[in-house]
Amino acid sequence: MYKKNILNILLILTTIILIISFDALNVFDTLVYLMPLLFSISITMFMKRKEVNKCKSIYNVIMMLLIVFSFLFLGILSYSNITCLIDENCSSNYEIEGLILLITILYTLLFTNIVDIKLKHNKMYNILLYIISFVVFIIYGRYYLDNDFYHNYINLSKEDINIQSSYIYITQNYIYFNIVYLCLLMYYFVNRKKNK
Amino acid sequence: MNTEKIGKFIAQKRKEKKYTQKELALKLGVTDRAVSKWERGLGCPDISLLEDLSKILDISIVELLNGESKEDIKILEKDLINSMKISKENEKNRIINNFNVILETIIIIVISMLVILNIINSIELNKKETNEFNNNITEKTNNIEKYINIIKNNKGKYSNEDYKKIIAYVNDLDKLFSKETKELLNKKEYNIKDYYEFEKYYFDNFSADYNYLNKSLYYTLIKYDTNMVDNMLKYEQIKDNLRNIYIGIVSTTSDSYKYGLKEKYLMNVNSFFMWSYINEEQLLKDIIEVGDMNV
Repeated sequence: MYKKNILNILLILTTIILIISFDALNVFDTLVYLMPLLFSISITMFMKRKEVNKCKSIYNVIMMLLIVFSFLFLGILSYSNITCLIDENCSSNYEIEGLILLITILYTLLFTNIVDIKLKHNKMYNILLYIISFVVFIIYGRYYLDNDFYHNYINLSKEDINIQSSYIYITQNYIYFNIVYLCLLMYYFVNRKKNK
Repeated sequence: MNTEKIGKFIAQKRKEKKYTQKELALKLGVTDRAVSKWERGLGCPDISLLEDLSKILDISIVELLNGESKEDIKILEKDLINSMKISKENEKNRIINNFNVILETIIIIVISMLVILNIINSIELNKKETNEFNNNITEKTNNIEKYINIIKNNKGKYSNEDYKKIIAYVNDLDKLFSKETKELLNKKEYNIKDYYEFEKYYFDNFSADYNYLNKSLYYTLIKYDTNMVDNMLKYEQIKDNLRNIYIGIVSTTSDSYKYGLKEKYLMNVNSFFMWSYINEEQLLKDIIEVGDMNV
């Protein structure tokens, strides 16, 4: 086991906690963060299927069930979006997809890192992960420092602080987070076989 | 066909079997000259002799024609396969490395974009907030100054006693627009010392029951117009909230400055001023409306 792997896992975990705590405070319910768990577990199980020797049939059954459920959820999501394209009165939140994708990627990264804790990772992967985590921490840290407890104390000044606008300034980063973490996940999978 | 190679191979195998050229020639039924010719690479044995020659030298016809033993061929084949494998792996690694470089550049570009975007956003957000606040505060101060001028020049409906009260209030309000408060408002960040100075200024210049005085003004207004009750309640509510904020923030921070506590946070009192301005503007408006001072 390498110490750097533990540090990587901790970094990913803290980013997940930061994003979820921010979003859970501001907009969405907790169920939104459970759905990505389903996708990411099925992806990691699919990835590790060749390396499992014991109870392979049970493993396969569970994996298939999870995959079926995740596809079912995806179907429901896409159906609701398609119906919203036709129906004008429908109130679908398109931000939710970006968030689900981001959290799925992060969960998958976390699980794969936990599963491959004994592998030595590519040096560049570690460096990239440190840079991204640093940037994410700064963005969220700035938000939390800006809205210190005094702002909550003065209920009257909420209009001045413009919490809604600063919230948008965070959520517009999600698309960039998605691209970065998706690239990082691809980078991880490409170099995974090489590192074995 | 490489005759030299075949000749060398025949000579090597003949020597291994410990035959002389003559003995081999005798066994094959040819002259020893012919054998030496083959071995020097000047000629090749006849096709009819190949079978006998291979049997005598204990090698296969293919080996004879290739000029090397099977083991050598096998090693060569292995080498060939290995080199092919290595080249394949190299190709694979090359593709992976290229892919890695692409991914790394994408990640770094997007991260730098992210950083730049966030810096621009934070600057814009600050600008927007300060601009909005400055616009609002200038609008409010202009309005209040205008109303004060109207009230000072006009007596309106009010009796002499009530008008005296109103003028006392207006004179108190003038102090809010002194240099000190304007300087404080123009600051972007507030020190703990600013709070201390502000509080000192506030206590030196305003009477202790300043807030209650303003409230009592509404009672005189109600004498002239009973519809002012709603406005009075609103005014009192905001005033109470402001006093709570004042005690919570300004007093505690100025106390901590007095007792030499360390500066823990910087925050602005813009909202405090904003709300008190809104409140006073409403009161002045009501005074003018009730007393018919517009004329």
